[in-house]
Amino acid sequence: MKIPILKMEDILIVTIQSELTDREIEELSHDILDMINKVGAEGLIIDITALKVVDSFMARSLNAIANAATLLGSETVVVGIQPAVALTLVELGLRISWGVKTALNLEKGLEILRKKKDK
Amino acid sequence: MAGEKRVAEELVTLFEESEKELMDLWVRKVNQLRVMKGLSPEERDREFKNIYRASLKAFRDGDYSEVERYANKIAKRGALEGISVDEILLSFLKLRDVRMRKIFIRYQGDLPRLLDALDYFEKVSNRMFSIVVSAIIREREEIIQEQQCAMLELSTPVLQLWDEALVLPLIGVIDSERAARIVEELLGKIVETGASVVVMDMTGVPVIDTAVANHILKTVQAAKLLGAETIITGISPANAQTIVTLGIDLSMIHTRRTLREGIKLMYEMLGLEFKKRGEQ
Repeated sequence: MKIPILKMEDILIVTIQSELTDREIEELSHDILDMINKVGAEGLIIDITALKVVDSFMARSLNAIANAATLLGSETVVVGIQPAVALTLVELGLRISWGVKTALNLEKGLEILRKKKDK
Repeated sequence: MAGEKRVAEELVTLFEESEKELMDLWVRKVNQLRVMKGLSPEERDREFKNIYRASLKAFRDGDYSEVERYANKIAKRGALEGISVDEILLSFLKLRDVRMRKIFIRYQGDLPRLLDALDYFEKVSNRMFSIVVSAIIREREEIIQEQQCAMLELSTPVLQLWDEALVLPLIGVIDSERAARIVEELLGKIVETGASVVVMDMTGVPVIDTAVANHILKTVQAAKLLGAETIITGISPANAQTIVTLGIDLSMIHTRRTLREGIKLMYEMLGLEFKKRGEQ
């Protein structure tokens, strides 16, 4: 199943609706970077509200996508991390807070990107 | 075994026959001790009679369930009405004394039978006594556990200070169980209120060691994943020194000396400013 990448003005929004296989994650990061390149997006929001589990590969991939997107000039915000997921990530010692910004929900994610743009 | 059964029957008959006499004696002795003042006379008589009958059952066929039931009931009431352990135990021991005397009087001319009777009597009495003591201890332990739970709950309030701001005043020693609870509660509250700033005040935390610091770091990171920045306030000079000596890196966390300073920073982060009315 191909995950849709929505474009809203100069922001890309990706909503992950179900658990992804490693292969699907690889594909998705490829698609996202291509899309950023094509439309010249200034911001990227990845919404993982629906994910109950985030494994180490997923966390690492989110990091990789964010870092690559930053190189392409697009700031990344991961939104909708569930409390249980946050706890697991911290317990595992996985940080997705360095290259990536995080926000509670899509609304707040958009707010962060807007603020950045206004400056 | 058959001998024991015979002794048991004899004792039960003896106690049944002299129930009135022994009860009166027992109640009088307990009155002399000035214990069980909390109960009205009728209530006490009824209770004592029930206990007396329950213990007879134990003597008759070694069935301690009644005794156990009464012991639990009394332990519960003792805890509720503030009857001291002393009072309860002394009253029970008095019943034993009264009966023991009766046995001595009954078998005074017959040493072998007296010894047989005492053997059985002591066995059952001791068992009953231990049942009562365990019931009391169990009851107290339950109370202690309940209070611990209540304390745990009381000690980790998460307060909403502004639309998107939470305050978490930490008081007391933080162990891993409490830390886990704090994180859980905080994350839940962040989701509930959509908070973007959390002020964590450590004024009431006596000691910060590596474990505590680690818990705090984890809390901060988890909050950050939900999009909330954390400001830590109220680290005492001694604690600050410990943290530095231990080589714990708190540089990625906003820290302020007092809760007041922390709240000022919080307003700043929320993009608010507060000033006197009419001031430019």
